[in-house]
Amino acid sequence: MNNAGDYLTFSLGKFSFGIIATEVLELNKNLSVTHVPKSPETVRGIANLRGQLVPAIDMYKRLGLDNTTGQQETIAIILKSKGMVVALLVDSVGEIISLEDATFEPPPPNFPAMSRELVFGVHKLTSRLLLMLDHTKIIQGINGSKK
Amino acid sequence: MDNTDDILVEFIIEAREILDQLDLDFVLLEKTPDDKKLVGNIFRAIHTLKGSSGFFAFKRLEKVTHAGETLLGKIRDGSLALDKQKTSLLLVTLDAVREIVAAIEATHAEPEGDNAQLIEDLLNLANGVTLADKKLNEAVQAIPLPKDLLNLANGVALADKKLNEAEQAIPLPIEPAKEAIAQILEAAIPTPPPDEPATVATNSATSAPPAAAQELSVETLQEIAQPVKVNLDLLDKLMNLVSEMVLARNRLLPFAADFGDHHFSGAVRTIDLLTQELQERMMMTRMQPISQIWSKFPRLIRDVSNECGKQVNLVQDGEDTELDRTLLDAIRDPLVHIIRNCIDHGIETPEQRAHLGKPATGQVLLKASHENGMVVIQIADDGGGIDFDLVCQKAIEKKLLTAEHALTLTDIQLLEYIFLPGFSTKSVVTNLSGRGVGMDVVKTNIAKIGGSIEIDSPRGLGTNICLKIPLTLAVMPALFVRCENERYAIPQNSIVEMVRLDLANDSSGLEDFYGLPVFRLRNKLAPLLLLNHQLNLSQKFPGKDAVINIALLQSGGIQFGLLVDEVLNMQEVVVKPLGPLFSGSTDFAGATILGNGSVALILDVAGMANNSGLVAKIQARPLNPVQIAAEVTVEQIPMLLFELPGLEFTAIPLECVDRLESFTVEKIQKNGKREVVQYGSGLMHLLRLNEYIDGASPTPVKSQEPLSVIAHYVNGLPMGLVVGKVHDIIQVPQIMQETNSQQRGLKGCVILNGRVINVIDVQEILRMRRIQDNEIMVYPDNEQSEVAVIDWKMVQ
Repeated sequence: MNNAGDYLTFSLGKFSFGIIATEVLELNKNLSVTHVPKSPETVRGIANLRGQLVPAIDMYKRLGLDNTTGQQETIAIILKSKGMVVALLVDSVGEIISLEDATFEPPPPNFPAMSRELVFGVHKLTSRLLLMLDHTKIIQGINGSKK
Repeated sequence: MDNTDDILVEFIIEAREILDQLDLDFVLLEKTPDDKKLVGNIFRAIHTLKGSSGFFAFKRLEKVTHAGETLLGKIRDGSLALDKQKTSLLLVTLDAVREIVAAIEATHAEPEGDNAQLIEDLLNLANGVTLADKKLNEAVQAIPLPKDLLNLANGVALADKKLNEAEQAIPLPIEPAKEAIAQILEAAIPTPPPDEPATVATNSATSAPPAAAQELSVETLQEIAQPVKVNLDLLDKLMNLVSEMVLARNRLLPFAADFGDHHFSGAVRTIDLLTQELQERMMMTRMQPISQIWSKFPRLIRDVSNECGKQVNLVQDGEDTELDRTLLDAIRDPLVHIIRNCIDHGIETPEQRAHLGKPATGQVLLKASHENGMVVIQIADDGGGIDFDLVCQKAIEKKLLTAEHALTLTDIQLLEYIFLPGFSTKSVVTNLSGRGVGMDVVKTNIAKIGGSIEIDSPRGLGTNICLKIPLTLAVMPALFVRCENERYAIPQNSIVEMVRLDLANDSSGLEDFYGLPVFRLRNKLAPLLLLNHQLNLSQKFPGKDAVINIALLQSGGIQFGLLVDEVLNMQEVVVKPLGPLFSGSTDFAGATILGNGSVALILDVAGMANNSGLVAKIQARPLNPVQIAAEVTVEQIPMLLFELPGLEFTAIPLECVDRLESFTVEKIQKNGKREVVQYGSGLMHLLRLNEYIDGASPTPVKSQEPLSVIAHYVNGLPMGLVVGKVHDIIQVPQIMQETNSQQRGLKGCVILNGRVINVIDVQEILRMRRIQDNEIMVYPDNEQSEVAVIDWKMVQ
């Protein structure tokens, strides 16, 4: 994977993430999510995006993080992952930035396994570390039959 | 053009679609040869093609596809591995089929001439290819050869290589194959001689049609007005838009009424009318009468029954029943399968039927009707029914169940095996059936469109298959309920009724039945599921004095109550799939978007019944469901309440009461010791009930009141039971309180509204009467001997 390109940054708690901007369809602030009982834990529920049903992914759960902010996520990133439209629930969205290969590093070995599956590397920026998410992996590993 | 032309055009379109898909599938299959599902798909597609060609009597096509299917069948059950050669062979078979289809399209517009050629080919095939499947395989391998010299060379190498591989499953003689190749070589461009079966097959498959068809197809394609194929997605979107528009109009209407502006009202009215018409027309694009597919069946039945040497008559009922076009397409193949099964497996040969005392001509009934927002299609035959012993035997052979286990299974449980892929009771693979494709395809196809299938097959009496299909896929009425602050929709077609139960006032409340909460509904027990438990929302259980809302649901023959927090409204909903992330959820059938833009989940009633273990619990009892139902529910029976001297509340089962009569005392006459009255043209013997029942007083002497008489027919002769006064018809539980010691003439008693009601035992009273009579009369007359017969049965 080419590690340079335009990335959308977003944050979950104190972490900053980057995800490829070309696959992002839109950002949606008022997405009302209907809980689907007995669905996988990482799936918050299902939302209506102008007549289309999209699953809403709880990104905290997906990345194995604890939501310590004590608040609901405020914004959803509508994204195409492997041909499927999904909504990623995140705390806030930053800017779209262009990244160079030079700042890229593979994930450190002490990275938790849950995140390692999704995070393909880190961009060391001057002010912060940007964890890079592989958008194709987001719906992978969500097992439909998991209770 | 006659009307079969339309169907033909449809067939050609369908064949083209299948072929295109098969091309893709084969290529994909080559990459993943282990994909069993894909092989199954291809197999079914070819099977469908064969089936369709079968009922157009395209024998040539049928034979080619049959051969292809045979090879695929071998691949499917793993006795042959798929390699590149086989794939290319199968692809060439497809080409051959495609050319035949093109030829059919061409000759369809052609005058007589070409048809004769076709018939000749067909006859040659029919004469020459009385081959077993193995030889047909050979024919398949011969098909690719004449394509061109290159192919031919490959073909030789291929055939040789194949033989060298020594596939023991198919001992393929080298010489015939080489001979065939040599002959084709000789006959490279001209038509090969039609005396050699393999070449006939190849000839018909490849060389003849392209020459004729290629020029013609260009013209004919333009001549035949193809029906416009509209993408279903587009149609769905239009449908959604129209529904939205209807809603928007509904919002507009009250404004017009409030404003009272003439121009505005006029404009709104126009929009109103237009919208309405738009909606109706939109619906019409989707709804079509079922006769569209049924019209093909008489021919199908004729052909299939001829092939099986059986006589079958088709009865159709309800052919104007309309349903959604997509559904119509989806049920056509299942129906064809079922009808073929009916004739091939169900209906016996005329000789067998005569032997069984059935009319020589078997009947197949095809009936469609609307029921509870579903289309019910019934396919019934008066044949031998499903051979359960054979099903059982095959299931054991296929190691699907053990012999010991098989003994414990009921017929109904055995039915499940019929739906397993690859299951067939036919030991010989025929053109019609025996490959084990069929009922599993039927079930998958029906399930795919949200329908269900029920089979009822009493041994020896025929089979009754009932398909329940939703009217349309797009919109369905649903009831909204609330549970833990979330709304859920229940499809209306599974709702039987809504019940509001006040547990504080209801003496019985919720009870426990084999670990399952149950509630009483009109004195019948019904199992109860709690929606919040089912969906893991909470563990709340209604308190002793709660008022609960229950939706009584029906799924697969099982009725159960679903406890919800609140019943909201009824609404038409557009069903949308939940998508792959929720594929593991069997509790939901989909979701729908509400007017306010939020999403509500639609419950899958059958899935929920399964998940809860309710179905398993009921199926686990190796009784038939009717008996289980009888066990769970307390049946009520109607009785006639009357008075006897000394016994105020006495009852007789209503089924024993044929008439109520009243006679004045003067009418009573004597026949020996017995009292009789003239009744109709004959005599009715009177029986004073109080003389036969413990606790009743003797008849008051010289009472001048008219006698109330219950006429009860015994073997066609009336017996008058004299009672005091007739009150009313009452409903009492069938199970009676046991009286401590049996009272003479009484079966037992029931308690109704705090009163003890004695139920008389008519049989015993008649028996007492007979004994009495016998003591007196040495020579019993006819009537008594008939009564005696009944009593003897009773004693048994």
